[in-house]
Amino acid sequence: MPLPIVSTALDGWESPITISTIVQTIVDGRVSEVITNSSFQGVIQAFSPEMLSVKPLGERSWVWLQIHTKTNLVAGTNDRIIYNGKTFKIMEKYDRALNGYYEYHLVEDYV
Amino acid sequence: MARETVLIIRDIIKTGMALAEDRIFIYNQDYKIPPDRGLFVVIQHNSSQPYSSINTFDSVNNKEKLSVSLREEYTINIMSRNPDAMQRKEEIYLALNSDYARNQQGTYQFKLAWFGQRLINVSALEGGSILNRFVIDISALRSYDKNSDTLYYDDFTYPDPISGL
Repeated sequence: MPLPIVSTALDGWESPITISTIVQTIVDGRVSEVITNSSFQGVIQAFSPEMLSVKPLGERSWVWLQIHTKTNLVAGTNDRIIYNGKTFKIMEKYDRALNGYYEYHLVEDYV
Repeated sequence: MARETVLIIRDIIKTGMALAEDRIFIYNQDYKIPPDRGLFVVIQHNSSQPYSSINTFDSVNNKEKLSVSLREEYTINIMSRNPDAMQRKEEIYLALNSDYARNQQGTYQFKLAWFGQRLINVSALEGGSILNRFVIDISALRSYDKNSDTLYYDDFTYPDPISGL
């Protein structure tokens, strides 16, 4: 039974999102950061109370965001992105390509 | 400037253990370690104990010649979520005494302890993450020097015997 394509559910809800992706690489033992700007269409929203409730107690007060998009971002788990001037870390990337979308979970990065 | 000792040690272990570039790096750089189960090696500088400091004058080039000799202490962390760190930890010692290590010491004119101190299992520090982690402390003897311009006396003024000036 084929998986349902649910990407049309995003139509009408998407808005332009601009992020800067920070990818760390090791060059001669030192960390090198490459920042890439990108724009895509997607839905960005805060975690629901149910999603927050399963997080450890100390992490519930952090800023958690989720992004649903049809775009497969270059960034993956553990990469950091800058959105609206704040740095977030990608904690989860759910590849739902078979269903027509990608889901990212972000948490505000502390530095 | 001479290549940093910590980077040379990294080269030695990277070559000896055939590690990829992103598997061995220098400590304390806010690096987000990839969330996989493979092997990582982190090298950190702990301290340097000077045992000689010399200032001489190079009368040929009229330069100040400074040098300091140090015993540098480094900690090598080897860790993994899979058993790699447990199985390959001894390769650190083998790398430190390899031909490549000896060639590097010749190239950069420093001395590396052939075998470090005791290998310690610090896996317990990681608690529930069940990380295999071991540390080895090693020493290196190295000198650093610098030549620079300095003030020197190359002319003498004798007081006039009559005026005293």
